[in-house]
Parts: sequence; C-alpha cells; structure tokens
Amino acid sequence: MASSEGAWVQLAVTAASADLEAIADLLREYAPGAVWIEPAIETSDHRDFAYRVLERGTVRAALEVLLPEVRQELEVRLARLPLGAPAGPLVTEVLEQREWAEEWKRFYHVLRVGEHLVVRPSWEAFDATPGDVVIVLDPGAAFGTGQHPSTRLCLAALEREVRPGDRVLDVGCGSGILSVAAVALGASEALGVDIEEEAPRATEQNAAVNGFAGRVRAATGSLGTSWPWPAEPAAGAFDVVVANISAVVLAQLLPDIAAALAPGGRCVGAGFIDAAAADVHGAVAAAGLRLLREDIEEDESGIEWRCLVAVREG
Amino acid sequence: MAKKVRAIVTLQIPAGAANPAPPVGTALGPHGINIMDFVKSYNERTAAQAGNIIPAQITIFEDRSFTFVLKTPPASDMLRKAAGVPKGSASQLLNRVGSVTHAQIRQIAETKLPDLNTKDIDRAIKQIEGTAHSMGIEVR
Repeated sequence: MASSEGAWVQLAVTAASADLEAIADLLREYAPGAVWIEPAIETSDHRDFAYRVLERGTVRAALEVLLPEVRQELEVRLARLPLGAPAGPLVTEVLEQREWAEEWKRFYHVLRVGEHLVVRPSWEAFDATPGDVVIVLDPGAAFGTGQHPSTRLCLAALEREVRPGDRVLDVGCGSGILSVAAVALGASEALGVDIEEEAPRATEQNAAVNGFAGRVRAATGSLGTSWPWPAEPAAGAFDVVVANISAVVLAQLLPDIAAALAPGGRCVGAGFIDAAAADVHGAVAAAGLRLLREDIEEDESGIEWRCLVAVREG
Repeated sequence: MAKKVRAIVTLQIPAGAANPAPPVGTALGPHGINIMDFVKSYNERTAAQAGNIIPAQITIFEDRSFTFVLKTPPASDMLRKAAGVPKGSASQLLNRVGSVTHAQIRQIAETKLPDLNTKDIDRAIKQIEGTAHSMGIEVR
C-alpha cells in the first residue's frame, strides 16, 4: 500500500502516442497501479475549443524506491520494446515528501472581483471590510472555480447588474459560483440549469455552504425544450440571465435567453473570445437584445475572453 | 462551454483504492484539481471492480475543474489474468511465460473494443494477439 510519507521517485518516458500504452505496460510491472499517461495536446482557440492529441506524449510512474540495478534492467527492457518510433530516455526525479491531499490547494487564494465581491476558499481566512460581499467556494469538478477570466468577468458584471430582489437564471451553472454570487449581491433567488449531470448538485451544495439553500436551486437541463421546471415557466420570468458558456451555445440560446428575460431584463453572456465576438453580437441583435457593454480579460496564454451585457428593451 | 482543456491524464490505478498519495497526488497535484473530489468519485464508481486496474481518463479544464471517464483494464493485465501469469515479476525477461486460448483472446478483444482505435473485432483480436506475443504469452 502506498503511504503518503517519505519521498517518491517519479519516472518519465516521452514517446510516440501510439507507443505510450506499451511503455505503460512495462512500467506497470515496476510500479503496479502507479502509472499514468499524459498525451500532449493542442487546443484550438476558436469556437468550442476542440483539441487534438499531438504525436508525442509522456508516460510517468511513481515508485517508492528505484534501485540502480532495477533502473538498469528497466532501461534494457525499454530499449527492447518493439516501438513504432524511438522513445526518449528514462528520466527520473525525486519528489520530496509533501501533503499530497493538500498540494492542489496552492492554486487557490482569496479572489477579489469588481468593487466588493470576494470569493474565498474555505481554508483561507479573510478579514472583510465593510461593504465586502464574501462568498465561500471550494473548487471541485464542476466548472466555475473562479480561476477562469470568463467566470471573473461574469462575477463583475453581476455585481453591476443584479439589483435587490432580482430573479436570476444561471445557464450552465457549473459549480454555482455565479448563482451564489447573484444571491449574495441581493437577488431574491437564482435558478441554475446545466446539461452536465453533476453540476446542479455542486451548485446546491455551494449554495448551502453560503447559507442560500432554497434561494439557489439547480437542475439538469437547459432553456427551451429541456427546461427542467415545467411549473416555473422561463418566459419573461427573469431580471437577469447569466450564461457563461461558449460562443456557439450562447448564440444558439440567445433567442431563448431573450424570451426568459422580463422587459428591461439584462443578459450577461460570456465564454467567448475576440475571434467569435462578431458572431455573438449578431446573435444578440437577432434575438432582439441591445448590447450595453462588453468587458475583456486576458488569460495566461494571452487570449482575450469577453463578457457582454445586453438588455431586453421594455 | 467556455471549457478549454488544459490537460488530459490517464491514471492506471487499482479500482476502489485511489488515495491522495502518489501516483494520484503526483499526477494530479500539479494540475491543481481537487484531489479528494476525484478520489471519492473514482472509488465510488470503481468499487465493484476491485482487484483490477481501471484506468481513469481525466480531462482538466482551464479553470482546473475536471471530468473523468473510466476505461477498460489494460490488455496486458487481462492477458496476464487469463494466462494465470503472476504480475509484477520484473525478472521475467520474456520467452514463453504462459498461454491463452483463441476464445480468451476474443473475449478480451470484445471487452477492450470501446477503447481501441478500431471498431472491427477482427482487427481488435489481432491487436490483442500482438500484445500477447510481445508479453511472451502464447495463443493456442
């Protein structure tokens, strides 16, 4: 049984994608149950961010000990594997002991968005000053950890757009970060929909953590025919609809979003980049909404993410 | 979705027994995903298959949220089981270590089919036979 104590040795071999399984098979003999494969990928910056797997990838393994003679044997056997293309050398690295269960948390810190909003992971303390609106959100599987520019742009837009007593619809609610923020900012309630099965549960859990159980509700579905609440019609029912999705899905859903808005209601739409902006603007106009503003934030690779606010004139 | 993929990692780990220590911690820690969330979910979904390596292909999105799908056990593991060859005997430098029947090969090929780069069962059988051959397992 693996322990979380002590140092580990990590092995890595870079090879052609088609050879990765065979190398993994060999490494598994030395590190049973402790091998993983990481294909190199290239993501397109357009539309729905399709990715493709590149020619070469990496197989890694973790061992508690690697004796010199075992390493030598492994190298001999690697060299004898019938591979399609030559593999790179066996690279080893010693991983110092650390708290593996906590390691990932270093990526998340208190996040200040807009004027007053603060997103805080539960394990970090925060001294709020008067006027701060603090929500607690621990990252999980569902999208919306606060780490993406598009999420932050939506949070800032909600801070400007949500008025006390508003009803808010969150399309593609993910972790529920936007629904929770909307209620924290004064909305009377927020409904979330997401086509991903696990998202509604994450949304309601995060709402409960913030004391908003009942005021934030979420279900699997979307607008239109997959609307999950037959008793609560979408049409004209919302003061704010926020949709942090993709250019393609946003453009598709804009007519339904416009129909869900009460006269004077605002749509916060995001998840698209500059290359898709013209298409999205076209869809906004076609849905009968008027664009009020658009904000931009760059991600770490220099891509400009956008977030628009459009109004249904009443 | 605004869900741009940051990385893909396929962990070959024992069903129902994931924990935050390496390899899970080492493989996923650098990507900043919630390790305990993954571990709990993986163990729940694989509990019934304990004793097998059940690979999990994890897709990590740009904001470090993630999703994963389970894969079939590695062909070499299934072959070893079918041939009754003990695993992890690192000293085995090939030659005949055991044998499997054609029927066993077909069964493994059928199980593996969803994860292979072919939808043709005959090609899948060829691939599994190739793997058996390279492991020193004879097909009879």
